[in-house]
Amino acid sequence: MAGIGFTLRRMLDQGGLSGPLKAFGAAMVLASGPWVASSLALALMGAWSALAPDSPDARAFLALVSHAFTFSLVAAGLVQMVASRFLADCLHQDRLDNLATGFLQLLLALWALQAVTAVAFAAAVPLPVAVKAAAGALYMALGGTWLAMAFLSAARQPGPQLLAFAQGAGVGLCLGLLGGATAGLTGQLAGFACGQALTLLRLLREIDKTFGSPRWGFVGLWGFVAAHPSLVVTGGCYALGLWIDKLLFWAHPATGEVVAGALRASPLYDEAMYVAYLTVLPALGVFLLKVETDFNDRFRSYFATIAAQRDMGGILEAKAAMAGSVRAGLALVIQVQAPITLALLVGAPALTQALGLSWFSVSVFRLGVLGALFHILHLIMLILLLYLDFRRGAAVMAVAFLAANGLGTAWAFGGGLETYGLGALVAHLLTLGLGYALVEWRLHHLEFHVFMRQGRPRSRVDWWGPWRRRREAGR
Amino acid sequence: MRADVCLVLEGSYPYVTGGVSSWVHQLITGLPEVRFALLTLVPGGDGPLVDRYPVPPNVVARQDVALFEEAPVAGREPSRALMRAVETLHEAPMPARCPIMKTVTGLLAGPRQAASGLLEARASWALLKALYARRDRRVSFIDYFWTWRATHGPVLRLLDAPLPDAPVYHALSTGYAGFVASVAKTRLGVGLALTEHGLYTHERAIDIFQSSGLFKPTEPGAAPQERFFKTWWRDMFAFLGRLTYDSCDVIVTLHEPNRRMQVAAGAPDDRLVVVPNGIDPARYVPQRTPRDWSARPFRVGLIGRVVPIKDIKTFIRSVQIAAAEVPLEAYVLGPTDEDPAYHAECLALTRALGLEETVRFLGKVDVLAWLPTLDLNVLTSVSESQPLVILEAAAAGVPSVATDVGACRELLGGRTGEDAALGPSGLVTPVVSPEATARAIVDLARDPLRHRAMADAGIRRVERFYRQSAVLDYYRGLYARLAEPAAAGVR
Repeated sequence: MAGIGFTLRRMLDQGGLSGPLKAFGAAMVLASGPWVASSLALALMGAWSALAPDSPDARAFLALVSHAFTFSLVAAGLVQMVASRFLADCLHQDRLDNLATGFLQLLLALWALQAVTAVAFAAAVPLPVAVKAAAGALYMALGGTWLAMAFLSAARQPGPQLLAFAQGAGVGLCLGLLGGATAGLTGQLAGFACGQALTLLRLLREIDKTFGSPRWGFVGLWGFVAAHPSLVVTGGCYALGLWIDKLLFWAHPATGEVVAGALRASPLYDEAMYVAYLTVLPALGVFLLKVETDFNDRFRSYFATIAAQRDMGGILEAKAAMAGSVRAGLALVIQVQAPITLALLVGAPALTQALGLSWFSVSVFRLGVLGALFHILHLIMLILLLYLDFRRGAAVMAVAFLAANGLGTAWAFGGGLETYGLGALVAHLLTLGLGYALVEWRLHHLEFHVFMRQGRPRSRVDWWGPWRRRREAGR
Repeated sequence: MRADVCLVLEGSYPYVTGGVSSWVHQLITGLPEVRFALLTLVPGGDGPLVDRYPVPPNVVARQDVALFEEAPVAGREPSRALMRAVETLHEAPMPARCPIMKTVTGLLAGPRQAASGLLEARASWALLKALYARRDRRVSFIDYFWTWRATHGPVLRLLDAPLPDAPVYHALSTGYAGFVASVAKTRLGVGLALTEHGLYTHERAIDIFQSSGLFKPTEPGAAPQERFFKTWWRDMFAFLGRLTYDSCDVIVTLHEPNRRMQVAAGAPDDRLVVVPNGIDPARYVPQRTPRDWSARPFRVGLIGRVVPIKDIKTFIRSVQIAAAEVPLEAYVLGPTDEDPAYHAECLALTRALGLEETVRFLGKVDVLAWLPTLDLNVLTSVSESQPLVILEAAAAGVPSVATDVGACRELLGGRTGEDAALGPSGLVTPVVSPEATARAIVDLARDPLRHRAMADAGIRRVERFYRQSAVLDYYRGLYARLAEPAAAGVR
């Protein structure tokens, strides 16, 4: 993502007031583009759909789409960290030709996983096969999209990606409405899936342009995964941790309702939470624009200091600057986001009413807004841990998050309406604390890992040059 | 099978051809009743190693240790006692280090190999940082770290190396070979002998001095740091040398100048003995044809590899000067492929001086077959130990003109009083002095009687003092004495 950040940086440097505003706006758009495009399409679809609102078909549509998003994100989470790490390694080793092939192989693996889970889930849902097929197609298209986004994070030009989402959303909206009018639930779902498939195709084309065409052959992916199993754990647990509270709300009899067989939803929880997450876009924007690029700068500068043969004092200064940028970055995110969050907390009743959410959702919304803020902060911690190559720490954090969110949500059921969402909030807070502690710990011990645990440097002294030459002469 | 003697070899027999390797081969074949084990130290990462000599059947065990191999290291965190001892070792002044090193060696002799683990242990990192902060905190840290790894890596690997089972260890150099031999002494209580051909520590010091690869500054003007790192390397080898001397029961060298340098490097005088190399004079008897160059040009030969240390260029220049006074044919007899750039420079110099007809480079030849052809053996090396070629020439009745390096003076003028009484068997010149070398060549070319006297003196000298059989007898006896339990103080 740093690639895009630097493009934004240039925008920032344009001077005056318009530069920063433009950059910030662009950052928010970038961070949220995919979401906003899809949400907008869905919202409009809901408003204009031929399906009667609140009908079983409409509820099934929403439930299927949210399930497709949820589970595709979890499945992609399993491979996303591997993908990012693989990408970083290829770029570092200048093995750019491996990237397209690696992407293809990861995509096929992801789709295999998704196909299996889709079939299993479909067996428990008594809906027409055509509907399930369309939902399955949407699920797989989304999975491929998230993976493609992970690879395209190396790209410097965000434009094509945003365009892909906009086009896909637009087409999905049109085809969805058309399909809904002509073929009901199946048509609407299939139309929306087509739009998402278009997004995926455009992203695939971007990948082909950026990385070239894939070859057939081994690029050491499975050895790579075997060498870094913690990445799978981290990605999977963190993604699942992100959604576990919603899954539990769907499953729990008091809060969830059956849509069709295993297909469930929780109207009380889902929409409020969804909107709550939309409110932290400014935080994401700040992260992308400033925090990540600043940290990236200090991070590179730290290694440059070492390579420039500075003494330990100089190295520690560079590290202090890096640690400082972490704290300053967090502070900045909070400074930007906190006023917005506070305003939303206060204005929650009015907002929920305006959005047409049920009155019961207000407390969920409030807790969700706070929780989302802490979530963004601990997401930043996770990204930093991965920057610092602290894979074990990242895995610990992801597992802790999953456990905390799961247990917290389960505990919150007992408290009644007021505590719904509190479990997630506490989990986010705890995870943030853990993540921050891990980042500080790793920074404290950074030199140990950089020097002692980086494999063997080649000996620069060749005493045995004459030995070798004599051997060769004797040959 | 248990061996009688374990030879500790670094960068020589049996994987490299050369003076030391040939000597070792002759030792092993000359003592067929002694069972030898070979502990060979190699750099590592070179692929399969090929024997350059037919290893005799009395070599009953072989062990290769790779010094710079990047093998994965498994080890638990070192004990606090060990780290305290290591810290004391690094803070102690040089003379006090040997006994502390022995303590450390003992502490590292556990069933679970802990030495290599120090390369990645947290306690090592803490100590490294502490030493850096205490003493050296202004130097480049990354170079400090790499130098630590490069200097300590081989030593730690050697501390983990399996040691062949033998009651006597015989190291053929100080440095890493001497180090692992001293480890064997500390851990197994073996009898320990050292034979130094060249002086390893001294040679490394020259390499270090000449090298530019130990510290490459990213900014200009970093000379003080270069000195720091070069000193570190030099001190490390000096320490290994001192440790070896301290651990050995007997230290053998080839000639007096070396013995003096060993004393200067900390070797205890009472354990030093000079045992020069020898040859088998009988092999050269057929080559002792009387030379008569009255009707033909005077033939001079330089028998040696075409490398800078042999200073072939001085030889070429001296031939140019001498050829102006007497008719000459000059031959360079030795392999030319070790340093192709230098060989090209020598050929260019020959051409530039117009000596293509006079000086011929014949490559690697059979020395024995060529000696009868030569009237005079010339040596212009800038550094030598005990060049066997002078002995071989002397045994074949060929006097030598040699530079005053290594053992040359005593080979040509006599080492002991008895030896000197035989008369000179050649002339000694300063190094890099084409005029002096040319003067010597011309003097002998014009004085056949003096030439004859020197040839005779040379034959007597070799047969009396440089017999290979005497060397073998010495070592046979040494091994027997060292094998006895109370082996300290034997000569």
